[in-house]
Amino acid sequence: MQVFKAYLQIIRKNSGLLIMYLGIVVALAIMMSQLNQPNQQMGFVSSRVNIALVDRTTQSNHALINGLHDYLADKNTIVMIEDDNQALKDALFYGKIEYALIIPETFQNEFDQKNSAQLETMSNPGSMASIYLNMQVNKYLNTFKFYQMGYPNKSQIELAHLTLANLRLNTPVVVQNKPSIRGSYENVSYYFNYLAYALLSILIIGISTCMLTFNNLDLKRRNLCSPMTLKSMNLQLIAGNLVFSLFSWFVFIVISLLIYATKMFSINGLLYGLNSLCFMFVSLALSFLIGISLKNRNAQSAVSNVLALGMSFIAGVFVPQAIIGQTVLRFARLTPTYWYVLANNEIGTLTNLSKANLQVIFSAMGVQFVFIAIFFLVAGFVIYRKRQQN
Amino acid sequence: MVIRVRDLVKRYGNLTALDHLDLDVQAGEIFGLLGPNGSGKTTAIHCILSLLTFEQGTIDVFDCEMTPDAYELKQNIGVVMQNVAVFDELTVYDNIDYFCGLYISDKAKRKQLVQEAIDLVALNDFVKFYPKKLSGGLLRRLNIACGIAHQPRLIIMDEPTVAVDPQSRNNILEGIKKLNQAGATILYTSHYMEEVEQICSRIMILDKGRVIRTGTKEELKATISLGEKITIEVENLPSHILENIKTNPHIATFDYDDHVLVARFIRGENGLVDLLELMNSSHLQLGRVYSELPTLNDVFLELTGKELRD
Repeated sequence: MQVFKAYLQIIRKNSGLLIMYLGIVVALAIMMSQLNQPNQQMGFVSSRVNIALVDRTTQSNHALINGLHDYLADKNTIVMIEDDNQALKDALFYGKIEYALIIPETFQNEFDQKNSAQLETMSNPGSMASIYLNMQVNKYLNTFKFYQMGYPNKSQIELAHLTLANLRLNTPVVVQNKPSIRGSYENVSYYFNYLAYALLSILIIGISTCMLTFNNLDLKRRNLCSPMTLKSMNLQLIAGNLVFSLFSWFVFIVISLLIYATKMFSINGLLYGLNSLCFMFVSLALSFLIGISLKNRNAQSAVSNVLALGMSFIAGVFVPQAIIGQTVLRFARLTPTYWYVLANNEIGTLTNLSKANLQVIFSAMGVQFVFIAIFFLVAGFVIYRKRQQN
Repeated sequence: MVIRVRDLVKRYGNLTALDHLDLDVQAGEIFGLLGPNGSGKTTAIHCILSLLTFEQGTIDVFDCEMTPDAYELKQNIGVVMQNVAVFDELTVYDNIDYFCGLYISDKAKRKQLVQEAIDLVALNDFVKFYPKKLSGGLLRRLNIACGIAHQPRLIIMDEPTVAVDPQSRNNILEGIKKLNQAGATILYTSHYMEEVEQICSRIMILDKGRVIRTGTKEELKATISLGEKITIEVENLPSHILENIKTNPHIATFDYDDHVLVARFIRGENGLVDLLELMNSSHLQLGRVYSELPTLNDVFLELTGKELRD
């Protein structure tokens, strides 16, 4: 087992670099998963906005405008600001108010005689409150207009009462959500998605380093002069690759157990583990292929970064697949990372173990196995070509 | 016979690297393969070790045919390659232990053998060093230790002293002599004639893949016409003296340049006394006087028409 022992010693010698990678990757995974905390808001609670209401109509005690005042005051806080554009702007600038509604002198007549009437509003650019307030104002005026058209004989006061009564009606909305008894798996999905980059980086660096060492022509010749059979040497190298890959995967699983303890002891957790094990074999096969294809160490980190980062970016490791363009996703389907992330996302939303749900997950794992077979076949071809050349 | 090569032909495309090579290495000897770079020494070694296929010929080691899967034969062979073949990630000790472990599975025995190899190449102070921390000479010694730690019956060394400082070279050569005294047969290649003269019991001179001559160093030197070379530092050599030297029948060639006279005598003729008397007769002031016996370089020069170091 000299080759196997030497393999592990080479890994140990490079452990500083690998631990650094592991640390960075785990820290990033945890940080990113914490930054992407799922939205726990299950309902809507309106909030009061400080607004100014300036009435420039000459006619006092108009029911339409009084009703609007009452309606807005009911939902917001009316702040008294003098009727001066500069004063209103100052109030907006200093945050005294978030919205100002100015009812022009001609508003009353326009409203009664036309289908539309213009109001002036002032708000800070990009203010969400202005959208919210515009909706409230439009809602009141539209409802008032609706009653006015439906009851042409009713007085303005009656119409205002009807409008306010109507707008005070609330319909309770119950959000039907079926979260798992252990809570959301969004964070866990994020961790396991990020693990794709981590496994690819670490295995490419580790395995290609060892393969490059053992494929060094002088060492290879020296080994071939010994009584160790070629078969034994290859088997020991395979064992080394396998042990290193499984150990790396195991470390990540242990970390996931430490962070998401309760969530990992579930069917979802088991599926995450199984999917990541599939991807570990994908990374192993790809790293092996890279290791036997590379001719020197200069290209090693470049290849590692390009492949690991590239495949992770386009396949949705760092950004959700839902917001990646279709063209990119079509291309990403040609990478194993896409199917790994797809399976993770499915596992994250899995609420029951129906055949349809599981089929998507296991199909994605199956595609990953196809990639494993392809990588090993290509690796076999590369080895065959190299032997012919030698 | 430890190594028996017959009619070996190896070609790289149109280039014939080994041209009908015959080679016999007997048990207990240090057999030197001497030749300039590109003469076919390393190719011959690689063919003997089954690292290269060849077009024609047979190779027997310990009276058995050498093939890539002749693992029992390989068990008895130690190899020291021209390029240092060690793991940068393993310490000196671990490197020797690794290569020794390819031959010896018994841990206790291996530990003892590794220590003996370390003692032999005097690397005791560097066992925990990584190869990158070693000087060129120490690295070569490590390379040798890795090749001989399992104490093989046959050691094949391909230019083990290339780019090594004189002190380390002497150390290595002494180590090789010790291995031979301990019973190992050694096939040693080099393009340094002094080394080969110093340690080899028999020498084969190769050039362009062909055997030029084989024999002991004395036998090889006996095959050439030249004898000793006399060098005399003398200022303003008169023309009548030069004429006298020119007509001396025992002197094969001579040259006077930059106040140095170099005269090559015919083999078997010793003309030092005559030459000095000739100088004294003219009351010439002499500087240093050297007398050198023919070297393997002279043998190579006469047989091939070119210097060994070309």
